[in-house]
Amino acid sequence: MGFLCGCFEFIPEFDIEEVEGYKPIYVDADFGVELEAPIPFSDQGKIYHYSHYIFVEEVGRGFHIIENTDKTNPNKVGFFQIPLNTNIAVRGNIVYANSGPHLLALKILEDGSIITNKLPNVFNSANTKNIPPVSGNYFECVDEDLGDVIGWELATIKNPKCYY
Amino acid sequence: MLLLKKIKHVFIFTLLIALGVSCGSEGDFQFDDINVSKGGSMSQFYIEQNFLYVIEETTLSIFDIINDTPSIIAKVDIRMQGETIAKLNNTLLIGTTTGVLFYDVSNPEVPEQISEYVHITSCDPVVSDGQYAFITLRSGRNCGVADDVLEIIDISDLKNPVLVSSYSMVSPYGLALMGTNLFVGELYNGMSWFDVSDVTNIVLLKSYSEIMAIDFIVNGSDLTITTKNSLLQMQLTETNELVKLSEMVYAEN
Repeated sequence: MGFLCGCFEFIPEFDIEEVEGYKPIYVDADFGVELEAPIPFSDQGKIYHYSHYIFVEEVGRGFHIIENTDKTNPNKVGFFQIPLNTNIAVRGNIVYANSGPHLLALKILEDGSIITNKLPNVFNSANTKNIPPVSGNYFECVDEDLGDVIGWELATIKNPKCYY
Repeated sequence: MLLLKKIKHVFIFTLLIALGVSCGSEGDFQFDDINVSKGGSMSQFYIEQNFLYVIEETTLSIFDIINDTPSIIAKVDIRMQGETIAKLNNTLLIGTTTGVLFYDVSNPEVPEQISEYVHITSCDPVVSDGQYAFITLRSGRNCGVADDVLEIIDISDLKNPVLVSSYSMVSPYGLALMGTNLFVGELYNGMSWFDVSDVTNIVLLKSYSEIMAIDFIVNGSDLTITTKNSLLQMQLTETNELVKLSEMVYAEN
Protein backbone atom coordinates (compact mmCIF):
# COMPACT_ATOMS: atom_id res chain seq x y z
CA MET A 1 0.00 0.00 0.00
CA GLY A 2 1.74 3.18 -1.11
CA PHE A 3 0.72 6.67 -0.09
CA LEU A 4 1.72 9.13 -2.77
CA CYS A 5 -0.06 12.14 -1.40
CA GLY A 6 2.93 14.38 -2.05
CA CYS A 7 2.99 13.63 -5.76
CA PHE A 8 1.64 16.97 -6.91
CA GLU A 9 4.75 18.77 -5.80
CA PHE A 10 7.29 15.99 -6.01
CA ILE A 11 7.45 12.64 -7.70
CA PRO A 12 9.50 10.41 -5.44
CA GLU A 13 12.26 8.27 -6.81
CA PHE A 14 11.88 4.67 -5.69
CA ASP A 15 15.06 3.32 -7.17
CA ILE A 16 17.23 4.13 -4.16
CA GLU A 17 19.15 1.80 -1.90
CA GLU A 18 19.37 3.64 1.39
CA VAL A 19 17.68 6.77 2.63
CA GLU A 20 16.70 8.47 5.86
CA GLY A 21 13.01 7.82 6.41
CA TYR A 22 10.33 6.55 8.74
CA LYS A 23 10.09 3.02 10.00
CA PRO A 24 6.91 1.68 11.63
CA ILE A 25 7.04 0.42 15.21
CA TYR A 26 4.73 -2.58 15.56
CA VAL A 27 2.93 -4.05 18.50
CA ASP A 28 1.78 -7.58 18.54
CA ALA A 29 -2.00 -7.35 18.47
CA ASP A 30 -2.30 -9.34 21.70
CA PHE A 31 0.56 -7.66 23.51
CA GLY A 32 0.66 -4.68 25.67
CA VAL A 33 -2.37 -4.36 27.93
CA GLU A 34 -0.87 -3.94 31.36
CA LEU A 35 -1.24 -2.19 34.68
CA GLU A 36 2.05 -0.51 35.43
CA ALA A 37 3.73 1.82 37.87
CA PRO A 38 3.17 5.52 37.16
CA ILE A 39 4.96 7.06 34.20
CA PRO A 40 5.52 10.77 33.52
CA PHE A 41 2.86 12.70 31.62
CA SER A 42 4.00 13.48 28.11
CA ASP A 43 1.06 13.89 25.72
CA GLN A 44 -1.99 14.10 27.95
CA GLY A 45 -5.47 14.13 26.46
CA LYS A 46 -8.98 13.52 27.70
CA ILE A 47 -9.95 13.16 31.34
CA TYR A 48 -12.42 10.88 33.13
CA HIS A 49 -13.83 10.43 36.60
CA TYR A 50 -14.43 6.95 37.92
CA SER A 51 -15.30 6.30 41.54
CA HIS A 52 -12.57 8.12 43.49
CA TYR A 53 -10.15 8.01 40.57
CA ILE A 54 -9.33 10.42 37.79
CA PHE A 55 -7.98 8.98 34.55
CA VAL A 56 -5.90 11.10 32.20
CA GLU A 57 -5.37 9.87 28.66
CA GLU A 58 -1.82 9.54 27.41
CA VAL A 59 -2.57 9.85 23.71
CA GLY A 60 -2.18 6.55 21.92
CA ARG A 61 -0.67 4.73 24.91
CA GLY A 62 -3.29 4.30 27.61
CA PHE A 63 -4.18 6.32 30.68
CA HIS A 64 -2.74 7.55 33.94
CA ILE A 65 -4.52 6.48 37.11
CA ILE A 66 -4.84 9.17 39.75
CA GLU A 67 -6.19 8.35 43.17
CA ASN A 68 -8.42 11.24 44.17
CA THR A 69 -10.07 10.37 47.48
CA ASP A 70 -8.61 13.58 48.86
CA LYS A 71 -9.26 16.15 46.15
CA THR A 72 -6.75 18.48 47.71
CA ASN A 73 -4.04 15.87 47.35
CA PRO A 74 -4.48 13.61 44.30
CA ASN A 75 -1.86 10.93 43.77
CA LYS A 76 -0.71 9.29 40.61
CA VAL A 77 -0.78 5.57 41.40
CA GLY A 78 -0.37 3.81 38.10
CA PHE A 79 -0.55 3.65 34.37
CA PHE A 80 -2.86 1.44 32.34
CA GLN A 81 -1.00 0.68 29.15
CA ILE A 82 -3.24 0.05 26.15
CA PRO A 83 -1.58 0.30 22.75
CA LEU A 84 -3.17 2.72 20.26
CA ASN A 85 -5.74 3.81 22.81
CA THR A 86 -7.47 7.18 22.64
CA ASN A 87 -10.83 6.63 24.38
CA ILE A 88 -12.05 4.74 27.42
CA ALA A 89 -15.18 4.22 29.46
CA VAL A 90 -15.52 2.15 32.62
CA ARG A 91 -18.46 0.27 34.07
CA GLY A 92 -18.16 -1.88 37.16
CA ASN A 93 -14.80 -3.65 36.93
CA ILE A 94 -14.57 -3.54 33.15
CA VAL A 95 -12.61 -0.94 31.23
CA TYR A 96 -13.78 -0.46 27.63
CA ALA A 97 -11.04 0.91 25.44
CA ASN A 98 -10.31 1.33 21.78
CA SER A 99 -7.01 -0.13 20.64
CA GLY A 100 -6.44 0.71 17.02
CA PRO A 101 -9.47 -0.67 15.16
CA HIS A 102 -10.48 -2.97 18.04
CA LEU A 103 -12.73 -2.52 21.06
CA LEU A 104 -11.29 -4.14 24.19
CA ALA A 105 -13.25 -5.06 27.29
CA LEU A 106 -10.65 -5.36 30.04
CA LYS A 107 -12.02 -7.11 33.10
CA ILE A 108 -10.03 -6.62 36.27
CA LEU A 109 -10.28 -9.65 38.51
CA GLU A 110 -9.95 -9.79 42.26
CA ASP A 111 -6.44 -11.22 42.04
CA GLY A 112 -5.44 -8.24 39.93
CA SER A 113 -5.18 -10.09 36.66
CA ILE A 114 -6.84 -8.74 33.54
CA ILE A 115 -9.06 -10.71 31.21
CA THR A 116 -9.07 -9.19 27.74
CA ASN A 117 -12.12 -9.64 25.56
CA LYS A 118 -11.69 -8.22 22.11
CA LEU A 119 -14.22 -7.16 19.53
CA PRO A 120 -11.96 -6.92 16.51
CA ASN A 121 -12.09 -4.36 13.70
CA VAL A 122 -15.12 -2.35 14.80
CA PHE A 123 -13.52 1.07 14.27
CA ASN A 124 -12.20 2.67 11.10
CA SER A 125 -9.85 5.41 12.08
CA ALA A 126 -6.83 3.30 12.96
CA ASN A 127 -5.73 3.37 9.37
CA THR A 128 -4.47 6.90 9.76
CA LYS A 129 -1.76 5.39 11.93
CA ASN A 130 -0.44 3.64 8.88
CA ILE A 131 1.28 6.72 7.53
CA PRO A 132 4.20 8.55 9.17
CA PRO A 133 3.61 11.69 11.26
CA VAL A 134 5.51 14.00 8.90
CA SER A 135 4.93 14.23 5.15
CA GLY A 136 7.68 14.57 2.57
CA ASN A 137 9.48 11.42 3.60
CA TYR A 138 10.12 7.91 2.45
CA PHE A 139 8.84 5.22 4.76
CA GLU A 140 8.94 1.50 5.14
CA CYS A 141 5.55 0.27 3.96
CA VAL A 142 3.32 -1.10 6.70
CA ASP A 143 3.06 -4.87 6.78
CA GLU A 144 -0.19 -5.63 8.56
CA ASP A 145 0.95 -9.18 9.28
CA LEU A 146 3.47 -7.76 11.74
CA GLY A 147 0.73 -6.25 13.91
CA ASP A 148 -0.71 -2.79 14.50
CA VAL A 149 1.53 0.22 14.14
CA ILE A 150 2.07 1.92 17.49
CA GLY A 151 4.37 4.68 16.24
CA TRP A 152 7.14 5.70 13.89
CA GLU A 153 10.88 6.14 14.22
CA LEU A 154 13.37 7.87 11.98
CA ALA A 155 15.83 5.36 10.59
CA THR A 156 17.97 4.56 7.62
CA ILE A 157 15.67 2.46 5.49
CA LYS A 158 16.63 0.33 2.54
CA ASN A 159 14.93 0.36 -0.81
CA PRO A 160 11.73 2.13 0.34
CA LYS A 161 8.54 1.47 -1.58
CA CYS A 162 6.36 4.04 0.15
CA TYR A 163 6.40 7.81 0.28
CA TYR A 164 4.16 10.31 1.98
CA MET B 1 10.61 -4.28 39.99
CA LEU B 2 9.60 -4.86 43.57
CA LEU B 3 8.38 -1.29 43.82
CA LEU B 4 6.45 -1.67 40.59
CA LYS B 5 4.76 -4.79 41.89
CA LYS B 6 3.94 -3.12 45.15
CA ILE B 7 2.42 -0.09 43.44
CA LYS B 8 0.50 -2.36 41.14
CA HIS B 9 -0.96 -4.22 44.08
CA VAL B 10 -1.84 -1.04 45.89
CA PHE B 11 -3.72 0.17 42.84
CA ILE B 12 -5.55 -3.08 42.31
CA PHE B 13 -6.37 -3.25 45.97
CA THR B 14 -7.81 0.24 46.02
CA LEU B 15 -9.60 -0.32 42.72
CA LEU B 16 -11.20 -3.42 44.17
CA ILE B 17 -12.28 -1.49 47.21
CA ALA B 18 -13.87 1.02 44.87
CA LEU B 19 -15.51 -1.73 42.89
CA GLY B 20 -16.58 -3.49 46.06
CA VAL B 21 -18.34 -0.36 47.20
CA SER B 22 -20.06 0.10 43.88
CA CYS B 23 -20.88 -3.51 43.06
CA GLY B 24 -21.59 -4.94 46.45
CA SER B 25 -24.44 -7.28 47.16
CA GLU B 26 -27.00 -4.49 47.20
CA GLY B 27 -25.81 -3.13 43.89
CA ASP B 28 -26.23 -6.50 42.24
CA PHE B 29 -29.96 -5.98 42.14
CA GLN B 30 -29.86 -2.52 40.72
CA PHE B 31 -28.09 -2.05 37.44
CA ASP B 32 -28.87 1.65 37.60
CA ASP B 33 -26.51 2.03 40.51
CA ILE B 34 -23.55 0.41 38.88
CA ASN B 35 -20.57 2.70 38.87
CA VAL B 36 -19.70 4.14 35.47
CA SER B 37 -17.05 6.57 34.38
CA LYS B 38 -17.81 10.12 33.38
CA GLY B 39 -15.90 11.96 30.69
CA GLY B 40 -15.42 15.58 29.75
CA SER B 41 -17.26 17.45 27.01
CA MET B 42 -14.79 16.28 24.38
CA SER B 43 -15.44 12.58 24.97
CA GLN B 44 -16.04 10.16 22.14
CA PHE B 45 -17.16 7.28 24.37
CA TYR B 46 -20.29 7.55 26.48
CA ILE B 47 -21.30 4.77 28.83
CA GLU B 48 -24.62 4.35 30.58
CA GLN B 49 -26.20 1.28 32.08
CA ASN B 50 -25.81 -1.57 29.61
CA PHE B 51 -24.70 0.41 26.60
CA LEU B 52 -21.57 2.04 25.28
CA TYR B 53 -22.03 4.78 22.68
CA VAL B 54 -19.08 5.64 20.46
CA ILE B 55 -18.67 8.38 17.92
CA GLU B 56 -15.82 7.92 15.50
CA GLU B 57 -15.47 9.90 12.29
CA THR B 58 -18.82 9.56 10.50
CA THR B 59 -19.97 6.50 12.45
CA LEU B 60 -22.09 6.13 15.56
CA SER B 61 -21.62 2.69 17.10
CA ILE B 62 -23.66 1.31 19.96
CA PHE B 63 -22.42 -1.67 21.96
CA ASP B 64 -24.38 -3.88 24.30
CA ILE B 65 -22.09 -4.42 27.30
CA ILE B 66 -24.29 -6.59 29.46
CA ASN B 67 -21.95 -9.55 28.88
CA ASP B 68 -18.20 -9.61 29.40
CA THR B 69 -17.60 -9.43 25.67
CA PRO B 70 -19.42 -6.48 24.18
CA SER B 71 -21.49 -6.92 21.07
CA ILE B 72 -22.23 -4.29 18.49
CA ILE B 73 -25.96 -3.69 18.16
CA ALA B 74 -26.09 -0.61 15.93
CA LYS B 75 -23.82 1.12 13.48
CA VAL B 76 -25.12 4.31 11.90
CA ASP B 77 -23.60 6.51 9.23
CA ILE B 78 -24.25 10.01 10.56
CA ARG B 79 -22.98 11.64 7.32
CA MET B 80 -21.04 14.25 9.27
CA GLN B 81 -17.63 14.25 10.92
CA GLY B 82 -18.46 13.35 14.52
CA GLU B 83 -16.27 14.69 17.30
CA THR B 84 -18.01 14.47 20.65
CA ILE B 85 -20.86 12.53 22.19
CA ALA B 86 -23.07 13.18 25.20
CA LYS B 87 -26.40 11.79 26.31
CA LEU B 88 -29.42 13.38 27.92
CA ASN B 89 -32.31 11.11 28.90
CA ASN B 90 -32.97 9.10 25.75
CA THR B 91 -31.24 11.51 23.41
CA LEU B 92 -27.67 11.43 22.13
CA LEU B 93 -26.13 14.82 21.43
CA ILE B 94 -23.44 14.41 18.81
CA GLY B 95 -21.11 17.31 18.13
CA THR B 96 -19.84 17.23 14.56
CA THR B 97 -17.74 19.62 12.52
CA THR B 98 -20.89 20.86 10.77
CA GLY B 99 -23.50 20.87 13.50
CA VAL B 100 -25.13 19.05 16.36
CA LEU B 101 -27.14 15.90 15.74
CA PHE B 102 -29.87 14.66 18.04
CA TYR B 103 -30.57 10.92 18.04
CA ASP B 104 -33.29 9.15 19.93
CA VAL B 105 -31.86 5.98 21.46
CA SER B 106 -34.82 4.84 23.54
CA ASN B 107 -34.36 1.68 21.51
CA PRO B 108 -30.55 1.49 21.29
CA GLU B 109 -30.74 -1.09 18.53
CA VAL B 110 -32.51 1.38 16.28
CA PRO B 111 -31.14 4.87 16.83
CA GLU B 112 -33.28 7.43 15.09
CA GLN B 113 -32.22 10.88 14.12
CA ILE B 114 -34.61 13.44 15.60
CA SER B 115 -33.11 16.60 14.16
CA GLU B 116 -29.92 18.42 13.40
CA TYR B 117 -28.72 21.89 14.15
CA VAL B 118 -26.43 22.86 11.30
CA HIS B 119 -23.87 25.63 11.28
CA ILE B 120 -20.75 26.47 9.36
CA THR B 121 -17.77 24.18 9.71
CA SER B 122 -16.01 24.23 13.06
CA CYS B 123 -15.21 22.09 16.09
CA ASP B 124 -17.92 21.93 18.66
CA PRO B 125 -18.45 20.11 21.91
CA VAL B 126 -21.93 20.43 23.35
CA VAL B 127 -23.39 20.36 26.87
CA SER B 128 -27.01 20.66 27.87
CA ASP B 129 -29.36 21.00 30.81
CA GLY B 130 -32.29 19.57 28.85
CA GLN B 131 -33.82 22.86 27.86
CA TYR B 132 -30.80 24.56 26.35
CA ALA B 133 -27.75 23.19 24.59
CA PHE B 134 -24.51 25.14 24.80
CA ILE B 135 -22.13 24.69 21.91
CA THR B 136 -18.72 26.14 21.39
CA LEU B 137 -17.59 26.57 17.81
CA ARG B 138 -13.90 26.86 17.22
CA SER B 139 -12.17 27.63 13.98
CA GLY B 140 -8.64 26.47 13.32
CA ARG B 141 -6.46 23.79 11.94
CA ASN B 142 -8.80 20.81 11.64
CA CYS B 143 -11.94 22.71 12.32
CA GLY B 144 -12.84 24.81 9.33
CA VAL B 145 -13.12 28.53 9.02
CA ALA B 146 -16.11 29.54 11.14
CA ASP B 147 -15.96 32.29 13.73
CA ASP B 148 -15.18 31.38 17.31
CA VAL B 149 -18.47 31.55 19.13
CA LEU B 150 -20.60 30.16 21.91
CA GLU B 151 -24.10 29.36 20.73
CA ILE B 152 -27.09 28.64 22.92
CA ILE B 153 -29.82 26.55 21.36
CA ASP B 154 -33.29 25.98 22.70
CA ILE B 155 -33.86 22.23 22.51
CA SER B 156 -37.10 22.00 24.50
CA ASP B 157 -38.61 20.82 21.22
CA LEU B 158 -35.94 18.39 20.03
CA LYS B 159 -37.54 18.17 16.62
CA ASN B 160 -36.92 21.84 16.14
CA PRO B 161 -33.73 23.19 17.77
CA VAL B 162 -33.69 27.00 17.67
CA LEU B 163 -30.76 29.35 18.09
CA VAL B 164 -31.39 31.63 21.08
CA SER B 165 -28.20 33.62 21.27
CA SER B 166 -24.61 33.70 20.12
CA TYR B 167 -21.51 35.15 21.77
CA SER B 168 -18.02 35.81 20.44
CA MET B 169 -15.22 33.75 21.93
CA VAL B 170 -11.51 33.70 21.29
CA SER B 171 -10.64 30.01 21.00
CA PRO B 172 -13.21 27.85 22.77
CA TYR B 173 -12.45 24.14 23.41
CA GLY B 174 -14.38 22.20 26.05
CA LEU B 175 -17.14 23.55 28.23
CA ALA B 176 -19.02 22.66 31.38
CA LEU B 177 -22.38 23.53 32.85
CA MET B 178 -22.86 23.64 36.62
CA GLY B 179 -26.35 24.88 37.40
CA THR B 180 -26.49 28.37 35.92
CA ASN B 181 -22.69 28.58 35.69
CA LEU B 182 -21.01 27.91 32.38
CA PHE B 183 -17.26 27.41 32.13
CA VAL B 184 -15.50 27.64 28.79
CA GLY B 185 -11.92 26.55 28.17
CA GLU B 186 -10.04 28.69 25.70
CA LEU B 187 -6.56 27.14 25.97
CA TYR B 188 -3.97 29.93 25.51
CA ASN B 189 -6.71 32.49 26.09
CA GLY B 190 -7.61 31.15 29.49
CA MET B 191 -10.87 30.13 31.08
CA SER B 192 -14.13 32.07 31.19
CA TRP B 193 -16.88 31.73 33.75
CA PHE B 194 -20.37 32.91 32.78
CA ASP B 195 -23.68 33.26 34.54
CA VAL B 196 -26.19 31.82 32.08
CA SER B 197 -29.39 32.30 34.14
CA ASP B 198 -30.63 34.52 31.33
CA VAL B 199 -29.63 32.75 28.13
CA THR B 200 -30.42 35.81 26.03
CA ASN B 201 -27.96 37.84 28.04
CA ILE B 202 -25.21 35.77 29.62
CA VAL B 203 -22.83 37.59 31.93
CA LEU B 204 -19.09 37.06 32.14
CA LEU B 205 -18.40 36.67 35.84
CA LYS B 206 -14.68 36.16 35.64
CA SER B 207 -11.86 35.40 33.22
CA TYR B 208 -8.82 33.46 34.26
CA SER B 209 -6.00 34.19 31.82
CA GLU B 210 -3.61 31.90 33.72
CA ILE B 211 -5.83 28.79 33.47
CA MET B 212 -5.25 27.42 29.97
CA ALA B 213 -8.31 25.19 30.17
CA ILE B 214 -9.09 22.55 27.56
CA ASP B 215 -11.85 20.40 29.05
CA PHE B 216 -13.88 19.89 32.20
CA ILE B 217 -15.79 17.37 34.26
CA VAL B 218 -18.47 18.58 36.64
CA ASN B 219 -19.25 16.63 39.78
CA GLY B 220 -21.74 18.43 42.00
CA SER B 221 -19.97 21.65 42.89
CA ASP B 222 -16.55 20.28 41.93
CA LEU B 223 -14.86 21.11 38.68
CA THR B 224 -12.03 19.00 37.32
CA ILE B 225 -10.13 20.82 34.60
CA THR B 226 -7.47 19.62 32.26
CA THR B 227 -5.35 22.55 31.15
CA LYS B 228 -2.35 22.87 28.90
CA ASN B 229 -0.15 22.41 31.97
CA SER B 230 -2.02 20.65 34.69
CA LEU B 231 -4.89 18.69 36.14
CA LEU B 232 -6.67 21.32 38.17
CA GLN B 233 -9.46 20.74 40.69
CA MET B 234 -11.67 23.61 41.78
CA GLN B 235 -14.82 23.95 43.82
CA LEU B 236 -17.69 26.40 43.66
CA THR B 237 -18.40 27.40 47.25
CA GLU B 238 -21.79 28.27 48.70
CA THR B 239 -20.79 31.91 48.56
CA ASN B 240 -20.25 31.46 44.80
CA GLU B 241 -16.50 31.63 44.82
CA LEU B 242 -14.35 29.35 42.75
CA VAL B 243 -11.55 28.02 44.91
CA LYS B 244 -8.63 25.83 43.95
CA LEU B 245 -8.50 22.40 45.62
CA SER B 246 -5.35 21.08 43.98
CA GLU B 247 -3.21 21.27 40.90
CA MET B 248 -1.12 18.44 39.50
CA VAL B 249 1.37 19.99 37.10
CA TYR B 250 1.92 17.66 34.16
CA ALA B 251 5.56 18.58 33.59
CA GLU B 252 6.41 17.77 37.22
CA ASN B 253 4.55 14.48 37.46
